[in-house]
Amino acid sequence: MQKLQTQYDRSIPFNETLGLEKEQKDLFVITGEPTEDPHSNRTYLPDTLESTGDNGKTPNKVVSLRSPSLSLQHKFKVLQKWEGTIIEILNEECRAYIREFGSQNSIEEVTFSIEEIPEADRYLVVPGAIFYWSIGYDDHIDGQRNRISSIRLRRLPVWTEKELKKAEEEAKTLFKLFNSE
Amino acid sequence: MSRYTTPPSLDELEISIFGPGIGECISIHLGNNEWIIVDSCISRHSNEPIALEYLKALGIDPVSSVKLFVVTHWHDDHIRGAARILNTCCDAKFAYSDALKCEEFFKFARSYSEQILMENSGVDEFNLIFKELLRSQKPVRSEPERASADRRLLYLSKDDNRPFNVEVFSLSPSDAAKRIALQEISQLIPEIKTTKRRAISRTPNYFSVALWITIENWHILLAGC
Amino acid sequence: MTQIPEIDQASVVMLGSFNPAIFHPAWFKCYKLIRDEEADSAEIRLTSPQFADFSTKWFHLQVLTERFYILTNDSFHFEPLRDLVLSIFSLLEHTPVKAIGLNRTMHFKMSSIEKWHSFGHFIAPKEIWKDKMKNPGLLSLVMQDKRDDPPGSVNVRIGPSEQIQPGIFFEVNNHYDLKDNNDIKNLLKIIKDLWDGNIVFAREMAENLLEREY
Repeated sequence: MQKLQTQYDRSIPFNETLGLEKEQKDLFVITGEPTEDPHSNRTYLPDTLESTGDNGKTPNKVVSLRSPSLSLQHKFKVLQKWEGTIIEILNEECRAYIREFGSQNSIEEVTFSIEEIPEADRYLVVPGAIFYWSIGYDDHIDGQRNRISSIRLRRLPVWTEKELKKAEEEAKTLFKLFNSE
Repeated sequence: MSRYTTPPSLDELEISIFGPGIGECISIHLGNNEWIIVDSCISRHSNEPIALEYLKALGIDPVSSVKLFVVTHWHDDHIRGAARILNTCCDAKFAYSDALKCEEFFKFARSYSEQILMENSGVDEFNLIFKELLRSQKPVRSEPERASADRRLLYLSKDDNRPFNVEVFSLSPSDAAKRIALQEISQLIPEIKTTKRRAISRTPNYFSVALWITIENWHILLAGC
Repeated sequence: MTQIPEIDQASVVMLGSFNPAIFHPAWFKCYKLIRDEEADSAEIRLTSPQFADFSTKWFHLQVLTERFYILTNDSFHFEPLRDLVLSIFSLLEHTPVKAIGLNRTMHFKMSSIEKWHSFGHFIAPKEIWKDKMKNPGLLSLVMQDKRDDPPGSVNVRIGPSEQIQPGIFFEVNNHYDLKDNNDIKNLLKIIKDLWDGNIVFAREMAENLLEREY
């Protein structure tokens, strides 16, 4: 169990996987007294985290947290990027169309081994699946540079029952309209 | 495109083939300043359907000159810009494959519509075509023609002050092809809780429309592929 | 020559009304929004009804009741970040959102300290300050351009980089105001249609200045 230091120098225990203990339900997140923030409509990342608690009440507990950021263990430099669509999978080989990002170049057809795709994404590999392919460098903080060729399947939401029912209803209407002779 | 500024003369046959672009396209002058357009692709320069760009470059009004517009495939790669051609050439007859007139195709196309999350679903253009057809329904536009084997889509008679008799027939899809096409469409309809993806046509030939055009003693075969 | 930034970050910031309790890696895993392994190995700092904060290898998410932040420092994952936001809010389709920022921050390394000073002087000439200041230096410059359609603004912030030395950072915030808080389709359309263009615009904005004579 890790402890967070609060503004009032009072530790709040929390469970790392489940979040705060139940008695912390009335916690407000705030780094100072609620004030009029002239930049409260801003949509860029803050240098410091400022937030008023729910309905502006004086907090009874406070947690001070850093603004969102990511560690800089790695620096990534993309040299080229493509978006692709899988056409066919045959004998562990994928055939796909790819088009370079930001380019007016025409679509190219490529073939690559399914081994190039991370195992975690392989269940997504079906005809029509969309993927990103990037090549570039990964510079680690210790000075090591690695050349990377990375394929990531695009994760889109699933088709819902509601959507497919709607499609069915629209299809019935269109079919009647275009087959009225 | 700026090279082509002289339209064909009234008794001159012309076949123009455009592509590759995003799709391919053919325009045919049938004489008498009457044209047909087959499929569509987008011009990289103007972002317009290339057939319309071409006709405008020749100083031809597509609204009055295009008599027939045929779409031979369903996939975006073959017909990008088709809805805009339909919108512009509002007096033209419109024909598409009879294999696509089944309820399954409409369901398939509508399942891939409103793809807020991705571009180029594969059926974007056909969904735009449906929208355009609904917008321009009777009495403005006549019913789309069913293109299937041995069906005449267009007849222009010499008797009406034309230099040529013109007939346009569709040669496909056959009934057998339509059955196979229906099977593929049924497989393309997505199932609940499967991840959204693009529509890929695996057996395009079963849907496609081949055309036979007769202009007096000339015969033109446009094979769908 | 096109210079590649040393640090390249994309982020999405939203103002509205959110339920931080939802934003747990388990929820992302359940809806297959990220890889199972990414969800399982996520570093969770806090999840509660008021605040959620966790990181995976490639993104950091932080959600308050009135703000949503997500960012990546990995330019290989700019499009996946966009997809993730689209997926989240197509699932949470009733989330009231009143404004969104599509942001890119780049840190460029300057070839020398002299060039670094020259650039600072180029965008913020010091002479007019020297009447009253001994040694004025640029900390941060913000330029704004209002936008009518869609309504909002572009805010560009430039300054010396604290992470790359000698370096300059460019932060480009494309801010969009949403007239209808409940129009999630419009929100998704903004993200989908404008993301790529904004990423390119931010780069062009930086290059426009960096490639001048200074």
